[in-house]
Amino acid sequence: MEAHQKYLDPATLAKLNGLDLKARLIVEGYVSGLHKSPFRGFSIEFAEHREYVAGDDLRYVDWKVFGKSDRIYLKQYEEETNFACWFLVDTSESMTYRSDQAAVSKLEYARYVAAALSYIVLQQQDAVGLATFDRGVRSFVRAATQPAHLKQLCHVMESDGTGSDTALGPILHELAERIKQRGVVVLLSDLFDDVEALMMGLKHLRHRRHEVIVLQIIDPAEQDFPFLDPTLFRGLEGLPELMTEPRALKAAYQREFEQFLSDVRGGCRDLHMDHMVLRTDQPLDLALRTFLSARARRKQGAR
Amino acid sequence: MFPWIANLFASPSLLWWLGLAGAPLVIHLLHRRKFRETQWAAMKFLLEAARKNSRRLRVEQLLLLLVRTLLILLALMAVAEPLVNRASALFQSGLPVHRIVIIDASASMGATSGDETLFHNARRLARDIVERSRQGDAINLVRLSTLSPRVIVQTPALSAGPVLDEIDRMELSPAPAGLLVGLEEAVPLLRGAPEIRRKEVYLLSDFQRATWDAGAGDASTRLRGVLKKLTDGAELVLIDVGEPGLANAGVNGIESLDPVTIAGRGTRVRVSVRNFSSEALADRELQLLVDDRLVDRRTVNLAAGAETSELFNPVIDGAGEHRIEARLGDDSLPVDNRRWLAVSVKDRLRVLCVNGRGTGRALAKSTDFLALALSPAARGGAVGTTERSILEPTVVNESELASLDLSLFDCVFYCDVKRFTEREATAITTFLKQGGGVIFCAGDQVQAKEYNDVLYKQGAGVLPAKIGERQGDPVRRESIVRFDPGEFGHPLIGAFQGNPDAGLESTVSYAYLATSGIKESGGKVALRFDDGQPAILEKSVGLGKSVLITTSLDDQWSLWPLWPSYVPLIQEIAQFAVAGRAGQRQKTVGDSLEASVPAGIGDTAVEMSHPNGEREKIRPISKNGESRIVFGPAIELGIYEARIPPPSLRTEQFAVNFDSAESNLTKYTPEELREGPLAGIDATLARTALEPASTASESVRPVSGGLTRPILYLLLYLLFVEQALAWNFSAGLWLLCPPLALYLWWRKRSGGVPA
Repeated sequence: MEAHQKYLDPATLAKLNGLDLKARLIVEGYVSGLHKSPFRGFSIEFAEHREYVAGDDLRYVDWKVFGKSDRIYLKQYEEETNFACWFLVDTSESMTYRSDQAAVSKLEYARYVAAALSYIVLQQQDAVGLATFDRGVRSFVRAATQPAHLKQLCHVMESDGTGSDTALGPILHELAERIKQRGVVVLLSDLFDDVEALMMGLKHLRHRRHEVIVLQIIDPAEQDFPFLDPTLFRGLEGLPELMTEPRALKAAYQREFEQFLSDVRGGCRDLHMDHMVLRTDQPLDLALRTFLSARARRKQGAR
Repeated sequence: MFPWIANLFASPSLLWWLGLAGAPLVIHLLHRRKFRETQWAAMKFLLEAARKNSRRLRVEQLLLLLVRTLLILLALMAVAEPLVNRASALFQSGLPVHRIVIIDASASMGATSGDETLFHNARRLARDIVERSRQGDAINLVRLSTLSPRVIVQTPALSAGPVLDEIDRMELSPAPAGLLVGLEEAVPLLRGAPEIRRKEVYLLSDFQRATWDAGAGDASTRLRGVLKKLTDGAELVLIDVGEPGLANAGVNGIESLDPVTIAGRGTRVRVSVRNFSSEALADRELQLLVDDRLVDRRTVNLAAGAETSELFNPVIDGAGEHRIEARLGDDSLPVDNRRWLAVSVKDRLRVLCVNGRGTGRALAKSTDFLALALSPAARGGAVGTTERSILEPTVVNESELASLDLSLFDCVFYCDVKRFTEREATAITTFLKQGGGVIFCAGDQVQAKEYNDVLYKQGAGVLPAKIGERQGDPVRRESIVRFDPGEFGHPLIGAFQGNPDAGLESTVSYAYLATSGIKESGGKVALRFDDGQPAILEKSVGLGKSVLITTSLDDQWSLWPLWPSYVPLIQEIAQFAVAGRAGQRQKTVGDSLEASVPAGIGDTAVEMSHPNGEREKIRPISKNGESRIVFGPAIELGIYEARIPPPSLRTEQFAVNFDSAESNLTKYTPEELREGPLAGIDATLARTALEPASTASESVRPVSGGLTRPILYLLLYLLFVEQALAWNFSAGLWLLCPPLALYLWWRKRSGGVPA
């Protein structure tokens, strides 16, 4: 692993302290791997040059071009209007699950992703807001653009404990009402809830004209079901326990789980939302790439 | 342990380990107690999967448990050695059974082991089998012996009582088993009781090698064929009542070395004794009895498998029929320790010499030298002996022949007789068949064509060869031939072997009659000339002997009468010719006893006395002018005596002896039987101990091993299945039951329950 990629590995990040530091390391690790401008591709994204005309803001003069050609050109950017990005982080009990195959829990992973994306967004001087929830909304941080806002976000995420069970549908309805400013909503959750209710909540967000990105975080064990010996599974979020032979039940469980993922994927597709399953044993760049490519696609669509 | 279960296995004690079959269940339960524990977020899906598949999971676990339990059960069963016939009987116990019980009643079954004979033990086991019968069962009973009757209960008996009575009455036969014949007679019995589908054939035998060794030829093919037929429609159970290593010695031969036994003179009797066991026998007393009176005794020592002969020289007084018996001390098979010899003792042999050449000159008759040679002492001690000659010659001319009754003589010499009429030929044939001896001697007057037409009859007559032209000139005597005894192979000249002073090989002849057609007539050459042509030929006709001497018995054609070989050879020829009558009366058990009787007795019955003292009347049978009695087969060992009524008023004795093949008690082991006579035959081999058994179920013990191998194969297969089921249930199910797996797969494809 190259040095810059090290901080994309959840196992490495788990050893570090400070969520804001982790966020910066993640982003820089990701960006340095691209060999491109660190912040290209956001609202400050360069579009073209045009010749200076009287009255133009001198802040946008490209002095390098002037130095080389004695001509005054202005740099033009695609979008210069600010937007708000909301991160909805599920802190329910199910998100605390971490198997032996994963270095961090789903909640930890969600925090890394939320922090890294917040860092990126704040770097382009856009606003970032945060909501954590389980059965109800636990914290709600209004969107702000100051870089120092990241510290507050990280503090909120780190200080929020874990909750009990969750009811995604009602929460999303509530948040759709509370988030007034139109923007990007990134949902970070394992989505272990009723799919129909979930979709209704997401639909509400779409109805409020938010751009919604669903990052579904799962533990690798939840997909691979690697258990062999007789196991007593203790359900989280108040679900009953089950003593079973995992080997005999593996195929049936995987069918159920894949069906759930498929239902979520289909629902998101119907609502024109981006949906990505993130396994906690995967590097974090996948989440970043998904977010950025979704944003780019939206912009191209808008143009 | 339940007795009915114990009876199904060779090692039922191992079935106590059947409790191990519960081990998989216990392990399963213990396994469930030892589990890991984990928190689980995606519980909703796990619960749903469990809910939808709980029934399938239970079935899978149950099936796996069942397979594992079955594995242990099969392993235990294989170790406990299940018994095939018992197992099948368990499943079919409710059905009626047609049983055919075959008991080996051959002489070897008379061997004793402990206090019982093998035959007694076989009968007791047969009773056990019959007593197992229930209402609806049918039973046939067969006795294996060369002697009739063989099929004792022909029509399937529907109740055990009469069959048990027959078993109790069944007697041991002194004859061989006649295995092939007996089994072939048992095969049609399978078609009896057609309404009963389940058939069982029980054969109780000692499996004596002499009985069961059918060799590799036609007999072996026949034995296999008949055993296959028995197993085609029935379960064949062979029950071994034999006992290995039984010691036995027997008198396996007794013979008189003298062709004729003369009253008051010692006669040579040779007795052969053989040790049939693998251990040496020491100091066994061998007795010789004449007319039930002990006359001599010897002590014999026999190495394992060895045979020895003892020569006795008893003197028998009084002409007539006498019995000689050799008796050996008792052992495990008493029946072969006695052997009899029927001897017809004569005070002299009456010889008729028929002269074919009339002359007044001394020693010019063709019979002159012959008569002198037959009774040298009578003519003034030509050989300087004072002993009375046993031969009593009567010389007649050819013309007197028609008025003579040949039956008054033991032997007739026809010397240079020109021709014979048909009537004379018939009388000669009858005389020969009754055991008389006839010697035809050559001479100038012999008409070859006449002889050939009347006596040779293209080989069907009494003459041993067809007579041809005379060879050599007896007048000019230009060429000479001498006797060539060859290897002294024929008994007629056996006495000359190693005795060159007798002058047999130097005897000079000038002429002889050529002969041919010996093979066609069944004749044998006893002595040849040195040019290869026969000098003396013989042929058996009925009980008697016909002899042809191709040269003359006087000095016309040879110098033989002047030679030292003349007298002894003439005497040997006369005794050889009459010996047939005695030789035909030594019989083996199962043979028929035949004797010619004078036609004059009409249909007057002949009284036959059995060795056990019983008497019965036999009517003579007349055929082609001959009268004879035929009795048999003789089923008792010992001396039979026929009393022929007047005018003959004589007795004839027959010695009926044991077949020494039965003396060898060496038996097949079960392994040898399976690899030998029973190879490829689907039969159950059973064994039994000779000690008393309380019930048939304990004494008739089927040999194990029939099911062990299939069980082990099944065990191996289930081991694979168990592994496959544990690894992937569907794969295991395909291995275990493809149709079921296919059905579940089809249901899954068509949207049914998941497999």
